[in-house]
Amino acid sequence: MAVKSPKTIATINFKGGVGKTTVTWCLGDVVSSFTDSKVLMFDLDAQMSLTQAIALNEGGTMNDKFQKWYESSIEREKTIFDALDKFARPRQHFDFPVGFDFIYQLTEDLHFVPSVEDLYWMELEVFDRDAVKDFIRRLLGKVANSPKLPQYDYILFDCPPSFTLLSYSVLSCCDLILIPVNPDYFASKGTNLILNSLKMRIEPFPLPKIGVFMNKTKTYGNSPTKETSFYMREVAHVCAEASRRQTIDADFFESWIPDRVGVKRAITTGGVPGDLLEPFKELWTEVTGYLS
Amino acid sequence: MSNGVFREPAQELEHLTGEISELKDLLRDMSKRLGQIERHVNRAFNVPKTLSAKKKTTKKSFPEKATIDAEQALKIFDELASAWNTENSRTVEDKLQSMTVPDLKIIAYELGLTFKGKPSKKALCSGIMGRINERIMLSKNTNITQPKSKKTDNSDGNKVASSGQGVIFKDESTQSVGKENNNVAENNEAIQPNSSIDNVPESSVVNST
Ligand SMILES: Nc1ncnc2c1ncn2[C@@H]1O[C@H](COP(=O)(O)OP(=O)(O)O)[C@@H](O)[C@H]1O
Ligand SMILES: [Mg+2]
Repeated sequence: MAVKSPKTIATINFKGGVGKTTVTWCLGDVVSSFTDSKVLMFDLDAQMSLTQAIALNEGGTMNDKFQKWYESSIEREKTIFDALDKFARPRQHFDFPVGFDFIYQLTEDLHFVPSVEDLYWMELEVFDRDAVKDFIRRLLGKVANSPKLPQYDYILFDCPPSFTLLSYSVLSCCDLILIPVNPDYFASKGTNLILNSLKMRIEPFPLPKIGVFMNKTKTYGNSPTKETSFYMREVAHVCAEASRRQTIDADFFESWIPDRVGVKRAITTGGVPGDLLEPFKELWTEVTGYLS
Repeated sequence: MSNGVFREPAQELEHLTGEISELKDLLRDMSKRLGQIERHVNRAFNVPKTLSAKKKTTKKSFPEKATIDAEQALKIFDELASAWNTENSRTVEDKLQSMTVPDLKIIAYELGLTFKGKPSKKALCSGIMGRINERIMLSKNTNITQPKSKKTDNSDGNKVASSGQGVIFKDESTQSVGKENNNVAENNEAIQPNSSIDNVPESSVVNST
């Protein structure tokens, strides 16, 4: 049985508001809609932005179908937190069969594992780091081997803006760490920090490839403004320096995502707005090129 | 064709050259006459010499032309930024001060600096210094492996750059702070998991003159 293992991509940045959630969702949407790939998306942020956005329809009303499914997954103890709980129990077999009670089908090719508030407890001393580090890898193994589930080509993780045990678990097994930055000093400043701390935190695991790109690019005509270009150059420089100095592979992508208000409604209205389609396709092309 | 009514090419050339030199003489006369009129007007109406002559004024800066293009501007910026590392900040400031306003404007423009109204030389220089600061800070290595004892003090106001290498990664505390700030859209104050970078170069924030 040739099980083609999916490529896993984690979107992370310690800074909130840079677009981790937005970008994860938009890539999920674009890739599942415009390629033949099947995509599975995880919300690992206890803040649940992605889960909540999906739970809402345009106009702010509840998406009943999702709501019902979500409630029953909590009832049947089929959430990501339950999985983790089962996994971390000492001296026990990881008994957590996965199917469509654990994974929600947004569309035929875009599937979703929502977050739960319980993930907040992760930050307390409930679980210990070493007990959790293999969690995502083992969970993905279950997903890949489940006869009830399709074979996913890509798995995307929306990570919290901090080094939680869950993000640690993802980062130590994913193929690519995708870091959105924004064209301002604070958002750019995080790049060097995250590149350094990723390495510290993930060791002794091999560090995945890291791709950094500019989100919320201010444009003038069809090009980035001079100010955005300044930050692009600087962040590219930081990536190159970090790659040179340390044993990490950090690439600053040439493609960038423009700053467009329309993106705010993208998740609830169910589609990446037309003017952002090309930029996301280009970003994805660069991502897959970098991965292969 | 030699004895026909038409001129040979050599003759034709001679003819045309003659016409041209006639015209030249005419123009010289006209220009002489114009010069006379100009001098007359100047004397009659007491027009100051500087205005009528071609000489550039040094007082006003607007007729001054920039001497560099966009590419050179960015190169100068790179040089200044690395000079800031190797020499002292005064040298860099002096270098900026010695440049003309139009050149400074080109650099500022290429760095995406914006100003309210017409920027003064001081504003241009401090804006560019701000960008240099940002570059240094952005690539500063927050090295957590470095022993605490080696930690350098960043109290030296502006010149955070040279103190480098000393910031300790505050772990637990910032994780929770980061969390509170999550999804506060466009929240520039969102805390980095690094306590000591709050030394943001002023001029990158204050963009006015
Ligand atoms: N390319 C973009 N253009 C305009 N707004 C954006 C863009 N990307 C993200 N945003 C907005 O920025 C805010 C924060 O985005 P979000 O994805 O929640 O960030 P994070 O997950 O990093 O906290 C949201 O309001 C979102 O709509
Ligand atoms: Mg988010």
